[in-house]
Amino acid sequence: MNIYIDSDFKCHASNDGMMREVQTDFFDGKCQTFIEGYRFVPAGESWTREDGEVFTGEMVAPWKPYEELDAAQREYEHGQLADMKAALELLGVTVDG
Amino acid sequence: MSVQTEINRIIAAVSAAHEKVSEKGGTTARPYLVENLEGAIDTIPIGVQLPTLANPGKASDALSGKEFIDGSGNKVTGTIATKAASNLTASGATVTVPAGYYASQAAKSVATATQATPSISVSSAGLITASATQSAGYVTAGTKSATNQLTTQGAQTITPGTADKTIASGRYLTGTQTIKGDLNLVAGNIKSGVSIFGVAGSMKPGESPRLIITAQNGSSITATNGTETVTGVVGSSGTLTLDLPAFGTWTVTATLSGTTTSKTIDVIYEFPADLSGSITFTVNGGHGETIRVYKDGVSAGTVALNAEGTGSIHLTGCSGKTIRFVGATSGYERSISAGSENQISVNVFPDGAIYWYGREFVDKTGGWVAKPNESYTATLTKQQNYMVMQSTASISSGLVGIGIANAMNLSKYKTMKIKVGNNPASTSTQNKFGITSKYDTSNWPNLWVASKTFGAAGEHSLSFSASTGFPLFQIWPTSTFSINSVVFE
Repeated sequence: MNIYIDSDFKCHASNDGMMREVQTDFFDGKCQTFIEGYRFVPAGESWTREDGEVFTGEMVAPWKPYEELDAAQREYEHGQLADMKAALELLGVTVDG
Repeated sequence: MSVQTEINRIIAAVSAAHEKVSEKGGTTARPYLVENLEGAIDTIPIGVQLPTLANPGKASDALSGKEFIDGSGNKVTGTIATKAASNLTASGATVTVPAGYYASQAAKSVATATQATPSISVSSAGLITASATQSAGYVTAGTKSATNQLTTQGAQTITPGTADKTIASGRYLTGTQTIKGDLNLVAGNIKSGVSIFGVAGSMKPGESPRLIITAQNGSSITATNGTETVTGVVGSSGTLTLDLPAFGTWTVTATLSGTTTSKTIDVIYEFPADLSGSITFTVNGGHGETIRVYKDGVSAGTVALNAEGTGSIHLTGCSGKTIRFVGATSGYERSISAGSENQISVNVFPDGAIYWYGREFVDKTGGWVAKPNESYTATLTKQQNYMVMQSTASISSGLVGIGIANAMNLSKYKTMKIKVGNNPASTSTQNKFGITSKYDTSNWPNLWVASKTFGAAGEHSLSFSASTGFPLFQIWPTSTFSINSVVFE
């Protein structure tokens, strides 16, 4: 899928007009909160962390604690599952669990 | 008169009689015959037909002695008694009106009483009591009041002196009572050996309080004892002398370029306070190792790392100095410049070792486990100071994971580094390493938490943020190469 990165290589689900578009399958199926907790450094580019350490691309790494992103993604997937079950029940299909 | 005429007359009279019977409520039928007339007359009802009553009265509905006919035609005599004002009785606040008929308005008076006047008393404990004794009876609206003037004490200011001063008891305070205090009543202003109002003196005769502060040129200095504040700026000499208004406990803060350092000092004598370059170093390295610390080549102490490979040391006077940390097989050196942060993390991991919680790689059966891609094999060999992992065949795609029995806690780390060497057969940029959320051979590409591609020998770094465990870090080669070390910093 296409995502957008700002000048600090932080990922965004939508473009505010100042971002670059990149294509990656890393975030396929991921919710907005998950995407926006990551940095994506394209191959051939580099990012300098605040402590001076330099990282070259292609690198995909979380800048927020992964536990928060994982929790948001699980909640998103639970919501997707609930929506699907509701839609199936409207069609008369009973879903267990 | 003819016979026919007479017959007609008689017929008409008989018909009229029958019709009169019907008119009177009797029963008759044609032909109107003479012989039927007697029977018809017998059917005429005797007396007046009364109307049907929808709500008939009874004896209790009429005055005593009055008579009427009820719905059944029976005579009924009324029972309602006639009453007058003389029948009313009063007791306390209650007036009783007996049941009956009153031809006109009836009234009865109740007893009256005078409203009592309260009396007010004040006990020695300051309890104010108001009391009134009221006699029984109706009391008309009104107000009764009483007063009792207390002895008062207005606002005043009392300045302590050599003799006790008192406020008399039994008085109502109409204003604020102020007992004067004095900011100079501190130990530093009182001669040593003398106590004033419980404050023991600490001043040595002939001395005044002063602070000589050492800090970076340009540092803003603030000294405060909670009530007074003295400020200044450190000059090119690197020192600042502050004359204090009093001895005692002073908190001194130095600020430069947004970095702040504080120290609390009990000023008894002229006291030097060196706030330049005070830094706490957090040291990460091999478990149980002792790290030697040098400041500009001079020993500044040691750091004993715990079982998790961490320890700390606080050093002062680091500004402009080179601080060096020396471990068993490697070292870390850093020059401290003006405005350095006061907390620095230092990594002194031995070269080539794989560290988890500061523990060295122990054994692939006891700790690290190689989980090769099912289509390829991989060997995992521990050398003295590093681990070598090599694929047995040239791999165009695949994944080799190095897993551990229990999840790692990566809260102390934010960087994963690998050193790749020993003839990487390709410069393909599709080689990848990183950390994943779990081990699942059917779903690996979707389980990366963080990943980094590389295509050459040397050191490669990956940044991440996490605080809980991941069971696996993985290296995904698309060519054959060796991994000299995997380090978390």
